[in-house]
Amino acid sequence: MSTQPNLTEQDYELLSTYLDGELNEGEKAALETRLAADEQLRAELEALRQTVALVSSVRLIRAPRNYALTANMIQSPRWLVFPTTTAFSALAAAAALLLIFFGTTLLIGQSTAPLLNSSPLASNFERDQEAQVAIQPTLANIQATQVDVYGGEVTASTVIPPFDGAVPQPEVAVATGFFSEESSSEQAATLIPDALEFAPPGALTAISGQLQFAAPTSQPTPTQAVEPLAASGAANAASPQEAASGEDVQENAPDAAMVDEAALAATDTGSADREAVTATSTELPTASPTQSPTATLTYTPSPAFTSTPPPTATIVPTTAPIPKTVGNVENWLAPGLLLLGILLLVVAGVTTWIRIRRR
Amino acid sequence: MVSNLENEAGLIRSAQRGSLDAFNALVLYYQDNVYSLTYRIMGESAAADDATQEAFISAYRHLKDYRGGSFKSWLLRIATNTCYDELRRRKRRPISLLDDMPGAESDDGPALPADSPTPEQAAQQNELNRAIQNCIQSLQVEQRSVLILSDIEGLSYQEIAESAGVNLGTVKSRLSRARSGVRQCLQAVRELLPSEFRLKSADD
Repeated sequence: MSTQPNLTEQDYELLSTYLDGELNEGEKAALETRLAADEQLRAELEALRQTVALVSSVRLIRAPRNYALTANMIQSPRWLVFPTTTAFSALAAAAALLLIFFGTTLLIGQSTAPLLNSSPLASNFERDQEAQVAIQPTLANIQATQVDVYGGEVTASTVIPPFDGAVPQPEVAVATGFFSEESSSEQAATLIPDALEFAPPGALTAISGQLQFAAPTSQPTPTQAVEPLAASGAANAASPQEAASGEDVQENAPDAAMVDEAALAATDTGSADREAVTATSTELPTASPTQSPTATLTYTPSPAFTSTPPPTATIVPTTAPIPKTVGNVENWLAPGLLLLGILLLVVAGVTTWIRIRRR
Repeated sequence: MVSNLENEAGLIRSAQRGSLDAFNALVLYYQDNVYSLTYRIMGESAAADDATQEAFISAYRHLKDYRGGSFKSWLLRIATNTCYDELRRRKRRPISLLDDMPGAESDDGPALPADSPTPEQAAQQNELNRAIQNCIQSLQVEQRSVLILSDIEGLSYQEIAESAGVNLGTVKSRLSRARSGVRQCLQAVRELLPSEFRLKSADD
C-alpha cells in the first residue's frame, strides 16, 4: 500500500486525520514538527490531499426519481391483522406451545381411557362429592316439613350415573313398596321442577342421597333392606357446611345433624304421627326413557320439629336436562386445542418472518 | 439539493407523530445524499434505487428510535445498513450484473449541476467520476462507506462513527486505509485522468 516504505500505517493515519483537522493539539503539534523536518512526509501529505480532493470532486448524484413515501409503502400488508413485534411473536409461540401441550396431553388421556367420562361407575366419587353439596337443601326440606319424597331412581345413563354403585337397586325398590302404603299429603308444597332443571349433574344424585338418608330412620322394618343406604345417607349428611350454600335452602332450615335427630326420633316414637310419603310417577318431558321412579320413602319427623301441622313438601324430581354436549365438548376439546396451537404457531412464524424481512 | 432545510427539527417531530407529509419533506431534502451513498456503495443504479427506497421506508418505521443529533447521519446510517444487508444477501445468492457494472456509460447517474460546465469539462468530469467510482468500488465495503461518508457526504468523524456504528479510532483507520487504497488505484489509471488530476507517485 505504502509508496514510502519508511512510513508506517500509523503515519498515514496521522496524515489522514491531520488533513481533516481531527488531530488533537498535541498530536497536531508533533506531526507538524515532523513535517517541517521530513520532506517525504510532506510529499505523502500532499499526495493524500490530492486524493481527498479527487474523491471529494465526485459530486453528489441527483436522485433519479422522487423517493417520497406513499401510504401504501408504510402500511403492513392488508392481510396481516397481527402486529409484527417481537413480543407478539414470542407470546403467540408460547401460547401455541402451551395449547399444543395441553391438547396432546388431553388427547392421550382420551385415547387411553375413551369411556372414562361416560362410564356410570367411573366417576362415582365425584358424583358423591357433588351429591354432598346438593343434598343439604333437600334435607332441610325434609326436616321442616312432612315430606313427600319422590325418589326418582335413575338407571344408568351415559351422562348422569345413578348414585353409588355399591347401593343395590332392588333394595330401594323394596323400600318403595313398603313406604307407599300410608300416604296423605296436605298442603303440599311442591318444589317446582323448574328449580331443578338447571341443576348440576349432581342434583339427581342428591335426590338419591336423600332417599338413602330417609329410608332407615323412618321405618324400622325394612332396615335390613336399606341398611347400606343408611350408611350412604349418613355420609352424605356429614357435610352440612358445604351444603349450606345450596340455593333453595329454606329459612330456618336446620342443619343435617338435626335432620338426623329428627329421623331417629321418628324411629323411636313408632308410627303414631306418621304420615305417609307418597311418590307418584311423573313423566317429565326431559326425562330419559331409561329413568323410572322406584323409591318412595315414608319419613316422619319428630313432633318436636312439627309442632304445627306441617306443610308437605313434595319434591318432584326431575331429570334436569343435562346437555349432551358436555361429552361432545370433551371430545372436541383436545383437537380444538391442538388446532388453535398450530394456528398460533403459524402466526408467530409469519410475523417473525415479516419482521426479519423488514430489517 | 435544497441549500437549507428550515425547521428540520419541527419536521422530524411531526414525522415522529405520524405525519407522512413532514417525513416526505425530509425525504426530498436528503434523497440526493442517500442515493449518492447507496450508489457509491452498491456501484450500480438499480440496486441504489432499491436501497434508497428501502432506506427511507426503514427510516420512517424507525423514526421513534431517532434521539436527536444529526438527522443526516442517522439517515445515512440506515442507508448504509440497508446496503450492507443487500450486499450480504447477494453474497449468499450471487447474481449477474453484466449490463450494469460500475463505470458503464449509462450507469453514473446525472450528477448535480455544476456551475455552468462546458461540454469538455462535463466530459472530463464524467470520466473522472467513473475512474473514482471504480476505485471506490474496489475497496472493502466498510472502508468504502467511511470514505463516502467523509469525502463525498462531508460528515465529521463523530457523525461517521454514529452512522457506521463504530468508534472514532476505527473511523480514522478505515478512512486512512480507504484513502491510501483509492490513491493507489487512481495512480494505476492516472493516464486516464485529466492532467490536472494526475497524482504524483513516488516514481515521479
